[in-house]
Amino acid sequence: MDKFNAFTLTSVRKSPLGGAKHGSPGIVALCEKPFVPSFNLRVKPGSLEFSAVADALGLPLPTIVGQSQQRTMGNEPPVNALCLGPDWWFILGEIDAIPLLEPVRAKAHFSIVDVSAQRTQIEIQGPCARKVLEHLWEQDLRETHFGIGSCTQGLMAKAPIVLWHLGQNRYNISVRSSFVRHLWEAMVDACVEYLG
Amino acid sequence: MNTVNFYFDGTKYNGYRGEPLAAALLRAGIVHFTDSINFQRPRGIVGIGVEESNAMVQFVSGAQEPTVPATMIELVEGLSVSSLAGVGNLPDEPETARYDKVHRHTDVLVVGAGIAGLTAARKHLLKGREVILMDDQPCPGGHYSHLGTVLPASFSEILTHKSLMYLPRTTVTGLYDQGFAVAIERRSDHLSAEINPNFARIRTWHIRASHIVLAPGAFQRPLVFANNDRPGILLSHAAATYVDRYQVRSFHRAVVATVDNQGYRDAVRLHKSSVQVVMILDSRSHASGKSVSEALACGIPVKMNCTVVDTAADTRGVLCSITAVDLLTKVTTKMDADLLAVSGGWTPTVHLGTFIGIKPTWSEPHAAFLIQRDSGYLSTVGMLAGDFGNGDGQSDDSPAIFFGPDLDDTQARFAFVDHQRDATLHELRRAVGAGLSSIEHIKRFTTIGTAHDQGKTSGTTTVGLMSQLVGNTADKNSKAMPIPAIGTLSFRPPYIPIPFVALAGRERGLLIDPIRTSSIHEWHVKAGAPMEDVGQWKRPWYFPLPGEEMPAALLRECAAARKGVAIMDASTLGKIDIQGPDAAQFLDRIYTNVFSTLKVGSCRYGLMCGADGMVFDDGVTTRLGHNHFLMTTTTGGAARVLAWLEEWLQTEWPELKVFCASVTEQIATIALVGPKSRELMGLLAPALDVSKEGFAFMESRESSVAGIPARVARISFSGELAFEINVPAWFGLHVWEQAMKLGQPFHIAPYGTETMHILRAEKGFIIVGQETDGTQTPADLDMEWIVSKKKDFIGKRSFLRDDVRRAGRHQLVGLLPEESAEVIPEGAYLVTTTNGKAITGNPLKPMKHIGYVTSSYFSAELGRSFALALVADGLNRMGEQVAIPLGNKIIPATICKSVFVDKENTRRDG
Repeated sequence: MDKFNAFTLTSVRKSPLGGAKHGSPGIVALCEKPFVPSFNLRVKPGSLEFSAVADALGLPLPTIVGQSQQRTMGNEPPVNALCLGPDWWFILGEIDAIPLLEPVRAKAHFSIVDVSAQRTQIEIQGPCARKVLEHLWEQDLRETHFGIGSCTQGLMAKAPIVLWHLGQNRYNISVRSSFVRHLWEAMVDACVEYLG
Repeated sequence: MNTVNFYFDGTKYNGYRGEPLAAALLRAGIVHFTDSINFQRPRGIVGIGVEESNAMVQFVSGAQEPTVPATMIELVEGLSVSSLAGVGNLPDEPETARYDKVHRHTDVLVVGAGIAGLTAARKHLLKGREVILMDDQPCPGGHYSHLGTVLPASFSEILTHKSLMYLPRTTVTGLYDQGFAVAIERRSDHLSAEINPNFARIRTWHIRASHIVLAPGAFQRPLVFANNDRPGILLSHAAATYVDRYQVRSFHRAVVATVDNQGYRDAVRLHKSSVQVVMILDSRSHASGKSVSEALACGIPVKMNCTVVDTAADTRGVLCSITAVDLLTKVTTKMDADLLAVSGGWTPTVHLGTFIGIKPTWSEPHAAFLIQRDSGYLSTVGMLAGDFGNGDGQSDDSPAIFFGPDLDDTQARFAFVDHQRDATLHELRRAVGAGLSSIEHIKRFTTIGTAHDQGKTSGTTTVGLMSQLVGNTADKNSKAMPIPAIGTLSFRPPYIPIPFVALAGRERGLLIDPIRTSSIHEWHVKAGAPMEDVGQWKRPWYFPLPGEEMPAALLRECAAARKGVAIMDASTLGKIDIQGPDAAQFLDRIYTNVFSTLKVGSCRYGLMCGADGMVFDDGVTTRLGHNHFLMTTTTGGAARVLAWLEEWLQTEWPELKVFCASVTEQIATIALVGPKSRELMGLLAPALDVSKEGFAFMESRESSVAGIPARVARISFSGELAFEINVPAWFGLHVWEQAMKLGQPFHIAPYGTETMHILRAEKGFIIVGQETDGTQTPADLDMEWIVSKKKDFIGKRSFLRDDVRRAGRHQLVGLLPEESAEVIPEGAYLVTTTNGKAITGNPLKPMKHIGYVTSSYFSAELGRSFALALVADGLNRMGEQVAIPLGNKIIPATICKSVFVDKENTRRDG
């Protein structure tokens, strides 16, 4: 990206929902968090590449599907690794691992793909957040089964998403950009009874 | 209690807020409620809950829902209903109420909030479990609430337990394996205030429970005797509840016909509510127990070995007298009565258990089918499990296995087994007489148990009567059939009728299915482009200028692409990033052609087949690095192809070191097409060498395009000089707008899917899914040039199959209609005569069919119409005349090669 004017780039880019917001945090609120850097990582756990990749990322990769790990360094925004499959992670946050890994790429077997624009992030929060999700999501959302830090994949309103439990009454939904308008409409609709 | 006004068949009545509509109607003297569906016989209210077989109404107010039992409707101010004779009407007005759905996981689901269900809920709550308690009544307690008894504090307390979610007015309608249950919650019909339109009227619950407790209780059975359907004949528990709890004063003289002690308890309740109980007719030879002593203490006359055999009606059709019969002496006695309260024993609600394959077992002491389970994820309690007492296992009911007295043929014609279906004992006898001995056949022959109530009251009665009839016929070979050998009717979800709209929930209108859009979609909408549905995608179809019709727009767009420059949003193409040391080898196995020889920075068109050798998908794949490829797929095939790649990698070739990642939405793809596209590309990417020599066909370059990091490739789906610009989707709209701005001097024209189709068809390029339907090999598509002879790939072995090698397979050819303005409809059939001459004359005459049209357009370039078609042995029929019969006319056409424009590929380099 260094060849390009960062200002020009940020001034002309468009997120699929334009940073839309809806609802009220005291009940339930939705907002798009646009332009979150994200990466699709595939590497076999236990391989040499696995530790090289984890070292370059600077965060331990969780090896249990459905768990996440966070890296925080100083004032930098956190980086999170969400384990989506036995050899599959979804990384949310800016990383500098790709150039670091360039020397080993020729021989090693892993893939890190920039998918920042593939999905956008919708955050849902508020006391009624879980109730709203229960209208659209079939999986178990109870704390005992989907505690803070848990992540999972599935179809929400028939759109493929990654659901990630961020904190008390706070969830992040990573949705494929082409589906996001539809999902947003479905989520706004599901809020109706709670927002009045 | 609040008095409210309501309307029944247009007449105003009043009743108490929240009481069952049935109670208010009976109190208002509406004993004759409606007429039956086939015989128009007067019918009245029979039951107290969802088992009601007669008193169906249609809402006139509110959601206008048809076919709801009056026993299940809570009275509210302004309620208006009309009586139904069997068949309801769907309202003409569109549904405006809201319906939604909730998914909930829990430790325990308890179905039924009677004493047994409450006891089970309490037990699980005390063990620290999360419990959902669902009950179809407005208040908890089951029988307790019918009796008007105050719920003991030990039960009422748990209803507010923090780990309990109690849902009244909620019917569990389906039970499935692994603890999955579906329920319908009626949320607003009982609210009289202005209903908030944002509040869902009915909520469908999808519950997944680690453990399910079934405590659904039981229904009382009627008896089968002549004229047993008259208004004034009620189930005894219902009659006593209406009279005692709801102060119905429409009945004065009652006869109770019973086979158990429940009849005695109900007789006492009637007696205490000032109804004169003329007599209890007990079919048993003796009776004892607390219930019996209490009735005797009230001075109610009891006659043993006796039941009711017939009834009579007054001029209104309402019950006025009954005929009792002594079962031993057959002596009959007539008694005046305006209420006949019948207690034929209890039928526990086995439905939910049978939904998951459980066969209920017959218990003689209970005279009932029971389900007794306490294992795994399911347990049963209460009456379903055989506990006919009040949770203490103590019951003095001692029911007889008795379904009605002997009836002659005439009486049997008026002895109703299923009221709602007007099905009689006569029909049951005919069914058995015809040789039917399976309950499933009997059900279909007689229609018993097929109405809205699915035989809730008639099921066990039918089984009992069948047991008496089978083996009792003239056929000496037929053997007697005990009740357990017959079993219950098969029940299926839903347990009660539910409106389709409740199942649809919010998945209606625009929310029924996702609409997928590209990052440039907004621009297309503003430009006024009509959209075409391509799978779930909305793609611009064409871009009309103000006032321009579609044919004119297409001619203009095609001309721009062939003579100037045109631009298309190709972002919907599926894109898969493929990396790993074995990536090239993997692609060699997936595609019919070789990819391992592809140079870094080059692109190649590839065709993939299924294991059956039939074309599965196609697209261009670019080698980004030695171990790194970017595959494109068809728009509709993206998910299917990724799943296909993963399937082979994970299950067949786990040794291959390859990882795939979908990047379909990561990349916005913009095609610049036409002889002037080079000049425009140069303006957009000044640093990029766009010359013929510097940037060859099927090569890919990294460059800045409109200030954005991009990958540009020389790929053409039209045969023209073309550049495909790929940028991160956030910048798709920006790059598109810049291209439109810089393209103005070249009269750049945006085009949509229709022009794209025309341009590619002129070049004979196939579209998978349009020229193919999963039965075409590459050879069938005249694409044998793309099938490698040197390597193995998926589908190769299938090419050796006789059927694939045989002559006469449908092959892709071009078609030129004789009339150059005639555009043949796609899908039209081609016919011919055996000597190769087209048929003329009557098009309705049977003719030999040889193929069909797959694509058909009017070409600006050719100045005429043309088509692609799959024709039997088509590649050997060049120049042959065929005919397309359409209605009353025949279109003659000539078969030609499928490439119409630029057969020598001279245009792709500009």
